[in-house]
Amino acid sequence: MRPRAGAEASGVNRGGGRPPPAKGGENPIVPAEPISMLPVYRLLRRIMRYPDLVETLREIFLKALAAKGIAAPEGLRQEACARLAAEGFEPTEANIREYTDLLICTAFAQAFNEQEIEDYINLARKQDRFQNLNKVVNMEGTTTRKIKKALKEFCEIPMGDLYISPSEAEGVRVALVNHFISNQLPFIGIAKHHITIRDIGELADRIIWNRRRPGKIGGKSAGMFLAYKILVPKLTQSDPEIEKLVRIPESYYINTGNFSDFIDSNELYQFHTQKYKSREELEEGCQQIAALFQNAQFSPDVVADFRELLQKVGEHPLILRSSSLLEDNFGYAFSGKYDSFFIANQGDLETRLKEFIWGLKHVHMSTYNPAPIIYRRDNNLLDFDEKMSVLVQKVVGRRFGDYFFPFAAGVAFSFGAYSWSPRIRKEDGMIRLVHGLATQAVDRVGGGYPRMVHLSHPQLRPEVEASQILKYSQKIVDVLNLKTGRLQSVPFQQLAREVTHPDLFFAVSVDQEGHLAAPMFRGQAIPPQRACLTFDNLLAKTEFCPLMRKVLRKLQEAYGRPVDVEFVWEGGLLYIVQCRSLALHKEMGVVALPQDLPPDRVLFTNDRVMYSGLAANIEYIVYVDPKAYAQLASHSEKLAIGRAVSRLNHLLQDKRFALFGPGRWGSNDITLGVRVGYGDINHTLVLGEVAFAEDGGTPEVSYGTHFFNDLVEAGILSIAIFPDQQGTVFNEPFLHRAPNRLKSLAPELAPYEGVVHVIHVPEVTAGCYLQVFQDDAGQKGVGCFQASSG
Amino acid sequence: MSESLNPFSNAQQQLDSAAAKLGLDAATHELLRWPMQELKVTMPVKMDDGSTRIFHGFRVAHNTARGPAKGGLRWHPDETLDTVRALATWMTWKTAVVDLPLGGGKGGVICNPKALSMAEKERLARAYMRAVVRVLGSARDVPAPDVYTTPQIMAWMLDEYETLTGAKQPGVITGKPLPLGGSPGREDATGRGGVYVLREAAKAFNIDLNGATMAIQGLGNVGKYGALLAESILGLKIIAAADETGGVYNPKGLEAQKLVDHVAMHGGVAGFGDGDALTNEELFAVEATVLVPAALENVITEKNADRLRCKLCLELANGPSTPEADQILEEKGIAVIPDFLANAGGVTVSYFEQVQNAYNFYWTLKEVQTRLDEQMTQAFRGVFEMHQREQVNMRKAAYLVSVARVAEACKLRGWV
Repeated sequence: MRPRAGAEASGVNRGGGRPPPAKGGENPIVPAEPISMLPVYRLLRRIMRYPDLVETLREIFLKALAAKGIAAPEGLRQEACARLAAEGFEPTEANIREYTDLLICTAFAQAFNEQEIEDYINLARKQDRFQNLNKVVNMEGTTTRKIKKALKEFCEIPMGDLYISPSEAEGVRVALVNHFISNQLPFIGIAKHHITIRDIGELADRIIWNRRRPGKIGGKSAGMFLAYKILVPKLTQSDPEIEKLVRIPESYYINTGNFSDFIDSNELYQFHTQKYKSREELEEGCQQIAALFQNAQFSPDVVADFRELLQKVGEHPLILRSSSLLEDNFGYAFSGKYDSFFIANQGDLETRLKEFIWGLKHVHMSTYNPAPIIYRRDNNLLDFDEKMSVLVQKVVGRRFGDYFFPFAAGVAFSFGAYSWSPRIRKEDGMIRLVHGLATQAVDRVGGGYPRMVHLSHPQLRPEVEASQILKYSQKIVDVLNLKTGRLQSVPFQQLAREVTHPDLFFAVSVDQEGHLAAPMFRGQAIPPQRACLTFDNLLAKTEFCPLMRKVLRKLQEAYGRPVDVEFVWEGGLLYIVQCRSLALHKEMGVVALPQDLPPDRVLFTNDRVMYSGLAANIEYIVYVDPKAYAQLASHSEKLAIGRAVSRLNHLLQDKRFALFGPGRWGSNDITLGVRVGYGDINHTLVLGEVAFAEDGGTPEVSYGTHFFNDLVEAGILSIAIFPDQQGTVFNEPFLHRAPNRLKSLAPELAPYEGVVHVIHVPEVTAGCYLQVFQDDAGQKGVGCFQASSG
Repeated sequence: MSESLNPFSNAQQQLDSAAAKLGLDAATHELLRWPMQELKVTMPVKMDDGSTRIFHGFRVAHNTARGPAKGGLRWHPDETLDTVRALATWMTWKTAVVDLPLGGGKGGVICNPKALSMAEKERLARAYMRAVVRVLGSARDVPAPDVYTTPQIMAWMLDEYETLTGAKQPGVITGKPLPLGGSPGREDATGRGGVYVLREAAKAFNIDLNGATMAIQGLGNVGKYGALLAESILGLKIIAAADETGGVYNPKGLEAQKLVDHVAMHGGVAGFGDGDALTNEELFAVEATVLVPAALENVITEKNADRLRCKLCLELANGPSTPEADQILEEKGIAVIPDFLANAGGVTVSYFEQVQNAYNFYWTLKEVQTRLDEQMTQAFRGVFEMHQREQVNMRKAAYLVSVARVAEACKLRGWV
């Protein structure tokens, strides 16, 4: 600025004497009285660090001042001119501009504190880097490296309390999600409201990138990450309780680029056509695939990345979870189709690395297993170019000697579609809860039952007497054995003898001469042989249930549909491990059961209904006689029945048929049920479990297991029949008397005629078909023979 | 309800047969055919949501000539007065056959306890106590747990009773939790009592238990302890076991504890590895010294009774044999220890609980078990003597003993 000739220069705070009041404007931006110059100086020094942002900063400062009612742009020019005149400077455009800037900075320095000033300066920096990021991420042919760099530059700027506006940020968020996380539109539609740019920056730091191939982190990782961001948002207000108590496990993401690179570098291209093979070919090919994978190698730079990851993680047990592009998508849960792999991760680095690599290969290999391919085929997903990513998580839990496991884990559903009492509010959700690893909650294991908790009435349960509660309790606990490096199933009472868990008070009830009750006091002796897992104290005396209700509600609101969440509860904290939209049966409304049926037209009645449904015009019944099955002496004979069922499933795939059999279909315990997987029963319309002499307790509701999810997704009606229960009808004589068509349908299965019956319904019912009705409102169901319903 | 399905009619018919054999006079016979006291109650109970639901219940005392009525309290959605009457009648015979100074009673509430919260169950228990307090008391009528009622429910009822009467009266209810005056030894009492009776029966019928074998159906609470204690106390070798899930047979013997552990883990016998698979029907035909039906009723019928190859049948379940089967077993020379004698160990220890409550002094487990042994031994001997004297089977003998004891008490009181 140039002073006017002869005028006594006076400026702001120019040592001694008060400057004359500026003329013009009744409310000057800079007041006449003395002001502190130090903040001004500091501000100017900060601005000088970002010379390219001067214009941007001026605009931001001006907006902020205007928002505070301190300055209006029109008034500024006038004041600048007045002050220039008072100080003896020429009112040139350059002088006016400079003085205006000075006024803005001075006023700004007076009006805002250090932190606020910092925030505004950072806002300008953010806006600048945001523009760059926006350009890079939306550029045609952009690379992951460039995006990462631009993202890093943005994220390096402290967040502060001032943000890029959501509408501006949305486009960039969408592009980033699309590039790194998922390109599924339903997912993006939700994620853009909850995952910020900074969140993706944090995520990017944990992704193991491939230098040659781009990739995404896959469905499971995306679901978990999104769930956490919904619950603990960065930019908006979060619930303090959720913020305090909810976490995700420490996680790293080996993205699909590494999978693609692995296939490329080992020339395993034949796997691309694997999915088009028949089921028999798929099963035969499994061994070959395993051998190829064993011999194939990751590229050296990728191995170096793995090594670095393991160094960072240390000797902590890890779980390697599949996270493919198709997995956990809306509508297709892929429940249990791909493998997860626990590793102990103990010992020297090279040993751990070897174990880690084998685990990764194992997970990758599962992409080519028959189960997921059949699932994809059934759901018209075969042609999709499926790729596998791996979610590496530190297993949440504690070490007890050689065992490592969490206090509790399980699966939670924001909508409990199954309820055994009209008191239960389905919309509050339900939980399958176990002690130890969640594998006992999601796999259909034998010899034990998870604790089923309805969140509207957590302490209500169908078992009343001690003997029933004991019977329907968890018997086996899954732990990681750090010595053997394997998952191990330990009987609970044995575990309780070997390990003194400090939180057992919350897990057990103790049986004292028929009186079963949770311990009253911590420190009370708990004799292992009298303890059973009920979680009564956890449900009644902690914030677990209210927190769960809150979490599920929030997630469901954000997803716009019910969700299912795998979780761990450890040390009073809730860890979200997985989150996806819930496979729900089609809501049927009220199903009217036919009335006044002649007894010889009724095949069965049931009074525990999972969900309403109808299966009409069933032509064939396949019946595995539970009593005959129980008589089979050897394991191999029982396995053969599973294979026979699978064969019939294939032969009858174009027919309408129902499958009835003993105990728990798909159980790991072959004595309790026929060993089948989804692919062995996927063409049936009805899957009926016949349990003789159940006496009042609810059997394990397999609701929520992978197996059950498959049934629901496939629209297969799941029914439990208790022939010995009073009032229940099960027309076993009909099934035994009807001609068995097994041999004519499949001559090779003739040896199993005593166990497996195939009945052609119209042949034995004068042209009728089996019609199955299930009404969950009235908790009643019936299967009866009636004419075709057209 | 048809006659054959009406449990109370069935109970009356059983009495009729014994009365005829004993030559009871008409008045005594008629007195014993009917419960002496029936109370039907209607109870309003506040639910958790603030609404009020009305529940209906009963308390029936069949006969109290020998002492206060004794019998469990059932909560069940299908409860009926006829069922409660029948069960109260059987309790009279059961307490009499073991020579306990008690009569027979039973109670019921029509409700679905599965659908009630803990708080609602407590309110219902207290409401029931308020409704029936006038007929209960350690010297009047003493309830206990039964179907869907638990020690906790007994504890609430006790508390309500003591509040209403203003005095500590632990003996008004049995089956209480141990800290509130429950007796040790209750858990295995029924199975243990059966084993003591089995021991005496073997002596009485000259059956050598050295190297003897056992086949058992049902490994719930009663069967479980029946198996464990038969093995540990009597040295019996279990060679076959079955339940609704399946069965196992091994002539070399099955280790009872392993079997019990397997059932606890897997929910049933099926899959127990140490033997060959066996159906329930095949179990009854196993050649074992002792057969123990400890599961369901009506499993030994005219269709399969002929196939039994045991020497002795110990009925730990209620009603496992039909009357027709009874006839066949008698003709085959198989000694049957009837249900209400064989499984009376439970009510005996309940009585011991009352006794300890009355003294406000509690025995050790060993004392309970010793006294149980004495009581069951005496009970068996009484029935066996009747069996020999009257030349009737053990079931009829047990009814004769019971009815005679009750009739005698009625006469001595001047009731008839």
